[in-house]
Amino acid sequence: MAATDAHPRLDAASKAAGESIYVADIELPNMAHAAVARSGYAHALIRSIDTSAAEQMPGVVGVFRASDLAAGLYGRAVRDIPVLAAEKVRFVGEPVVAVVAETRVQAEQAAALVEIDYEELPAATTATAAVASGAPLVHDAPWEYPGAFVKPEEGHNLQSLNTVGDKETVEAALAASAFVVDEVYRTQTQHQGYLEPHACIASWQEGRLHVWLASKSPYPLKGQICACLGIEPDQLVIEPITLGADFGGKGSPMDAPLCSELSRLTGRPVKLVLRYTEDLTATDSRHPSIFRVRMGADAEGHLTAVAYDVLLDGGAYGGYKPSPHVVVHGAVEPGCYRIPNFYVECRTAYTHTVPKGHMRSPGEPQQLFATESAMDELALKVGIDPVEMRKRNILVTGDTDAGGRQWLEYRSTETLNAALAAMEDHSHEVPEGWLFGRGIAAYGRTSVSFGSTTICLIPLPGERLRAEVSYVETGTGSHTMVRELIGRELDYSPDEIEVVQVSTDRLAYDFGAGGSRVTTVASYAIDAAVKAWRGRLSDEAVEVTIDESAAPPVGAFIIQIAEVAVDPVTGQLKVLEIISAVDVAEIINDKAHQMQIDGGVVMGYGYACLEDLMEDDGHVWASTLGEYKLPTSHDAPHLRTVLVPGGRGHGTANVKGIGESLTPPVAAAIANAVADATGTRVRRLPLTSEAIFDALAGTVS
Amino acid sequence: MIPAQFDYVRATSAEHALQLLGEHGDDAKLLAGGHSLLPMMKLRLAMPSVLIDIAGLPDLSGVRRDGDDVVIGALTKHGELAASEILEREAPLVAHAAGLVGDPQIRHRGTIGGSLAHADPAADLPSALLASDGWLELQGPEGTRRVAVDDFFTGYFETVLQPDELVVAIGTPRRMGAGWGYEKFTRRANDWGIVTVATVGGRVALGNMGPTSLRARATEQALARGASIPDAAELAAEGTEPVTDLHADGEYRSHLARVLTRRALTRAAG
Ligand SMILES: Cc1cc2nc3c(=O)[nH]c(=O)nc-3n(C[C@H](O)[C@H](O)[C@H](O)COP(=O)(O)OP(=O)(O)OC[C@H]3O[C@@H](n4cnc5c(N)ncnc54)[C@H](O)[C@@H]3O)c2cc1C
Repeated sequence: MAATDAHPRLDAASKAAGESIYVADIELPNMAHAAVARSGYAHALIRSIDTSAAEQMPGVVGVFRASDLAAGLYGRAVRDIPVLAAEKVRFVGEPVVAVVAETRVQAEQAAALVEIDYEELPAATTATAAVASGAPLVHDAPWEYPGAFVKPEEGHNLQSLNTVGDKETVEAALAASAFVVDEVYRTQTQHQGYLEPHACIASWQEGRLHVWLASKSPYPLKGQICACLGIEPDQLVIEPITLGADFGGKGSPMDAPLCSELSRLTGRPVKLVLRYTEDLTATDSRHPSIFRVRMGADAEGHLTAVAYDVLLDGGAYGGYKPSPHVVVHGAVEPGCYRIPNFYVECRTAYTHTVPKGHMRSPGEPQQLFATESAMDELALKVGIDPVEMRKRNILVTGDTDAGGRQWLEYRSTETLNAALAAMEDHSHEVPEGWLFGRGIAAYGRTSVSFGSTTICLIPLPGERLRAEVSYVETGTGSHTMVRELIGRELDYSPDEIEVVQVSTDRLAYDFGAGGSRVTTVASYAIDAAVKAWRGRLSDEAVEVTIDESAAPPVGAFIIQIAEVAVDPVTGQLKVLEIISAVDVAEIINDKAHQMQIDGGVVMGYGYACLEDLMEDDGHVWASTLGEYKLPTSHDAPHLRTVLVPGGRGHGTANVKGIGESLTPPVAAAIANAVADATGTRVRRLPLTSEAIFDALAGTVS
Repeated sequence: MIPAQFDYVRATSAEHALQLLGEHGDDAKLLAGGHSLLPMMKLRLAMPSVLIDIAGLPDLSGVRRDGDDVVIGALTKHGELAASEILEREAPLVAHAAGLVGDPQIRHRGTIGGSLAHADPAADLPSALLASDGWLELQGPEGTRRVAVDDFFTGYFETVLQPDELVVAIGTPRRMGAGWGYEKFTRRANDWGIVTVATVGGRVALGNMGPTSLRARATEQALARGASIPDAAELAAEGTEPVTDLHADGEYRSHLARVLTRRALTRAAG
């Protein structure tokens, strides 16, 4: 690995100084402000709407309901989300009426006076309730939505049903196994916790619509808005923005269709910035899940079969997801073990709850919590150590996984050994009377490079260079990385290169941030751009668009070991340290890389121990950042990283994705450590003191 | 959400504040650090039409000795309490509890008078002062009166403070060298306590175990009878009705009250 002398992030100084311009900061001439009146019911018919009081409030420009709009439904893969609810509402927080006023406060004050008369209907507010026959329907015919992936015969209130493998052979293999674990693991709703709330400005000017949206994927967004509004791509420009973080929550059109319609109706640019309570209660958090895992082993602890029966709560609309299934890699892929027989049935339910969307490594934390907990439970039955259990089953280079894929490189052994070595060389102070425990979790991730991107290099006077990119800096350092690589290849110092995101009018395409693809794809794009630059005949700009869908995936392996102390008297849990051993290739900027590791682990820690939107009865009860418990720096455990260099990466830069690799295994490692400390297994997240206390007292499993 | 419309006036003296309170009656609210009132206004749980800002009043801030008591100005901030040398020596329980309120930003703005007047059963200072056998000095149109903390809290966010009265000072007996204990059980660093226990001089006060901070009377009586700490602590939740809310079940709170009382008493005895 080349030693990297990290240059400071190019966005750091302006962000720290408060100089970066976010969507909420943008002021356009004659701009008006919107606010939304939202449903207080999980499921209800809208009987009537009275906007007269709102209309008379000072500064109000207009008050609009669904029938005033010309827009259709919107969504990413499936289009099932109405811009404003028309006949019925399907979740508490659903937008029903929009007010446009001269100021944000005037709009909010008027929105509070909109009177909506509802007829409450029975609601299905959990996934289990929703898929039961006879449950109230969330949508009458979900298979009729554009882009729908569910068929009428597949079941009640489903967004999707996905099966992989052969059920019969798995049943037979489980029946013949020496040991079988059959347990159910549950996870809660997690919010992305970005700092910047969802925000949008839309402005129709001379027949063209300009949109500034807190979005991580401008080009797919363009298509989604066009589909919803029925306009042509050349009528729409997505403007470049500074994004106040994403973590997966900023991939949908969100309020862009609404603001666009409000701009058309009022003839003015319209801005809508959500309050954080709206972000928590009415956007697109991580799916809660119920995983039944059946895992079999022979007498020596070799896996014989794994069966998953998964039920995810998709909320009232499926359109916030970019793919049919939540679990992109997770349950539809067989994980990091040699599994001779494998079967998954994964259902995502429509429920009368806030819609769910994608969040950093979608589906993976849920699946890892279930799988890696079950691995430990199976080890206990077999009577071998959890580490030994993994050694006996983990995929290694050359193996073929249960999905039929042969791995050219799978650095599981090196990574496991590195983690174990790190664990050996230190000890912790455990408070008197507390129990100490260690837990391990393994995560084999596919480092991908997919989707197209465009980059343009422009010579500037004074031996300087400008790189125009089509993707958003989501806060990960992805623009700094471009400066780093180009500087290295073309021999420019960092201050001779500027990197800017440009509007969708300027460059051809980018698939958007997601799937830990940005650095890997950009490294291929930069290879191509550098080659084109070197081959230029005169001092002109070069622009390249690449499509690396075909690049073969490489493995990116993670081992985490959590060390915890548990107070048996109160159930209080202290996570003392999390060791992360990370299989890497080359690292472009070691600080940015380490930030992804540390942030990823802390996010996983929040999921494991603290964060929960506390959905119940159709309501999100943790509706402020006081109630929604994001970890603070005081809560974060001590973090230790062991990089395992020498892996095979993508592109000339030889890189593996890192952004989503660290979050998924954390909860399982901690749960396994708690079980190790206490002898008691908690199969539900988050691992609160009370949950651990109840488990110790034997009141719940 | 944003607060409802309100007017803002800045009081120039305690007398001026009282006069303004008299003029505006029930519509007015005093504003000190604003760290309880403003969140309530944002949630529209409070909708005063006038805010009377007392934060800048001279003479209502600081810690001093007065005979057998330590007297604390109502506008003294949590951070100042935590750093006070007088408190550290003579009422360390109060200093310690103040140092555990929220995070540095909150301790930099929030005041002891505001904390007591607000009367949140989960707050740290009410229990600390209840255990300390403290008192409040209230100033109204008819003059000042002194109320024991024991008699101050009447219900959930309710006290004997009248709408036309101002808390001017809080007092606590000087207890140099007395053993004390404070236990705060939180879900997350810097959070409100799920349960808190404060003890000094044989008095035990519980936070978040009912509508107000309250005394663990059965424990105190058992201690007075000479019961062992574990035996006395077992009685801590007796007569309480802790709520079940987002962050804990009532039964779990009762369990915590017993455990934390034992720990606080052990610390005080050690
Ligand atoms: C995020 C957050 C976390 C917090 N965590 C904790 C915690 O862990 N523990 C804890 O104890 N507290 C906590 N608090 C509350 C904090 O301690 C408040 O500062 C305190 O409760 C109120 O003091 P204040 O000066 O801000 O009062 P204000 O908010 O200004 O006023 C509160 C109430 O008291 C009245 N009032 C204020 N001063 C007087 C006076 N002199 N006379 C009569 N009435 C008066 C006001 O009219 C109002 O009704 C937290 C607050 C926040 C925002």
